[in-house]
Amino acid sequence: MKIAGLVFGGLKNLFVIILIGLSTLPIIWLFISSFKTNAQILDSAFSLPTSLNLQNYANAFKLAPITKFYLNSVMVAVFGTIINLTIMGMAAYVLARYTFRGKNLLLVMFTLPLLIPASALLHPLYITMSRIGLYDRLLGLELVYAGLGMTVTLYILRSYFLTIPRELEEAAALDGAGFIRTFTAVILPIARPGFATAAVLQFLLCWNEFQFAFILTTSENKRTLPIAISYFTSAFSANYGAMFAATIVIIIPSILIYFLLQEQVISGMVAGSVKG
Amino acid sequence: MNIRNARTIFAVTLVFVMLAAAVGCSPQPTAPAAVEQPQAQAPTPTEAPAPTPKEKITVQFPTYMAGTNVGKPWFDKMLAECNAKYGDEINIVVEELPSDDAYMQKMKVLLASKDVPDIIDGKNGLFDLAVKSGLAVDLMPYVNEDPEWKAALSDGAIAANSRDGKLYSASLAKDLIGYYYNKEMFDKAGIKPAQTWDEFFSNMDKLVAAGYTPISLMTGENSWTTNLVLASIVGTNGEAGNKFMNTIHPMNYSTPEMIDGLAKIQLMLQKYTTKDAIGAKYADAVNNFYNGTTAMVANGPWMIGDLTNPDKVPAGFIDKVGYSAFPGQGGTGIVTTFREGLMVLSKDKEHADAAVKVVKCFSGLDAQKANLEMLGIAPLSNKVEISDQFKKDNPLVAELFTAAAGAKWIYKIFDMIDYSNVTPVYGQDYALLAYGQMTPEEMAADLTKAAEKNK
Repeated sequence: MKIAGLVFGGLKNLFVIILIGLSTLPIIWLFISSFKTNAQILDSAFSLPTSLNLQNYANAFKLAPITKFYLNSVMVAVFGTIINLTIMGMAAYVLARYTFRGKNLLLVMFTLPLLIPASALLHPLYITMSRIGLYDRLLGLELVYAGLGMTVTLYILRSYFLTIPRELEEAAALDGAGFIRTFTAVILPIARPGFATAAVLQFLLCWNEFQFAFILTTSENKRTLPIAISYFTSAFSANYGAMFAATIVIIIPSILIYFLLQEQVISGMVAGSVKG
Repeated sequence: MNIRNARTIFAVTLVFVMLAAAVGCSPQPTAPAAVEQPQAQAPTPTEAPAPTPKEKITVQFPTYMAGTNVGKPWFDKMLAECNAKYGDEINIVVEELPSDDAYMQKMKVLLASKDVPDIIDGKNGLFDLAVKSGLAVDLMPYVNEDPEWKAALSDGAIAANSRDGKLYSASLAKDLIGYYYNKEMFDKAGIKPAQTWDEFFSNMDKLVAAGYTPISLMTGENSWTTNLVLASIVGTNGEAGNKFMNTIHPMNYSTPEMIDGLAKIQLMLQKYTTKDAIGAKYADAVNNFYNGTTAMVANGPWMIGDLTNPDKVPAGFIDKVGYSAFPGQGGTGIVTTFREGLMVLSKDKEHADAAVKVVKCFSGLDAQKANLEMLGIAPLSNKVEISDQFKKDNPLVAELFTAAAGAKWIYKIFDMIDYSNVTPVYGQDYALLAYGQMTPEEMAADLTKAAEKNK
């Protein structure tokens, strides 16, 4: 029994170590490779750098307008997340708490975007954005991203709202709170972990998305960070060292955001799994 | 609070969020990415009032020559010269679309929506799409009006970019492509560039015996270096093979010459190339040549710049490198193409006229000369003077021109003759070919099947 326990414990630890390795090794490899020259990367992908070559980081900023793209990405990610959470937060609350005709149909319609491949949306979205004057505008990207993340946010928040006891709203009502006050003063503070989870996922979507950012913008002033990566490879030339350096610079905010909000995210994820 | 109030607050909240986002991301009038127009000088009080300047025509010009693209310095130079020449009348708005794939993807979306820029590059199937969509402007009347430009483009380039008597694109340069070889390795193996394919294979055996991997091949991306060798085997295999490699959009790949070529490539993939060739990208293939792993790599003159780049090759590496035409039946062969160049897609004559002026800047004699001097790319016109000093300073380019002058066979590349949906088939099938899971006949049939989808 003791041996079986030890073996089980060992296997469990091994499994955890493998998972940690799978998650962190690519980032560690990327970080180490960002100090290697192009030739060193191509000659031996897993060798250590012979020196601390910081030139790649300088080249990354020289080859692509990363600073400008960084600011744009921050704007798009922040506002794309705010718009998404504001609208879907209210929608999710209503869908979690109220019964009305067509509710199920509405839920199905909110789910449908998950079934449409992003590439199929490119052409219609390009035409729509051009016609309404939002082509090559950060606001256009923010609205598109807010829409793309709609379903995920709705289901996370709706699941979270369902775990909140109705008694709290009833008590608020007895104290004279109306619909808006109940939502803002009672529900929102309790649902913070749910919002944090949805915010992190939405932020990452806005931060990492390439295809729409590329198609829906035309000027350097409106481009976001994922596009910067494509500055480092072309048909007959590639600068992998600079590309890896740029990637490291680009992924820092995503890691930071997740690191800062990880506890809220985990509790938000778990809360949705057990209906109160 | 009643429902009506709730709705009002809801609506106000939404408006506030939208406004905040709009203000936060306020659209500034975008300065054209790469264009800086000289400021007009203010007239002094004693000067007569200047005539009202004519409104500039804006020409949209997306380009993939950005970031690390080898053509970027040339593009920037030409753009600056064009702005200096036409800055008063044309506002060239350049959109940088780094990476060729991303460029293709965006142009396809724009073509499908018929909301196109004034100038595009017709590479990798965009030429056909633009012509098919009916958006491409016929450049023939413009060329006929300007004999100097017509001469600069050359008859060969005009013929290659014309369909049914209409010229749809202006080539930027002539691609002459042979293969680079490591002279040190060749000397140690006791060989010289081969004159026939039998000799080429015998050379590869000798290189293997001397401890070298003979040739850099790749099956990733568009199988570039591998397909150059295949094109050369087919294109130098008698009149029939050469005719095939000069046919735009072949439908039947199951020809004796293609099957023979694929059999030779199969042997190369199995015996004479690096282990990483299956799935390798362009960067891997050329790096195997740069770091002395392989003795040969097929590629164009744009690679010459890399041969002195300390980040890519050891010091003095360029002195070890020679350039040769491919072997062939009864004489050597060299890839010679007038690739699709710039196309004008403007919707009205005013913009088309302006766009043509810009295209002239990028395809005229000066542009061709700059392309030669900066990238070693052969000019379209023989009116571009290539000085002895230039040849002395650029011995590899000189070797290329000598090889081209002595070649018996000239032929195109697969990227240019194939339908665009055929290109990915090479990469998929080369892997099967290399592992013996597919025969050359089966691969030829696969290519035919892909081409027939365009019927």
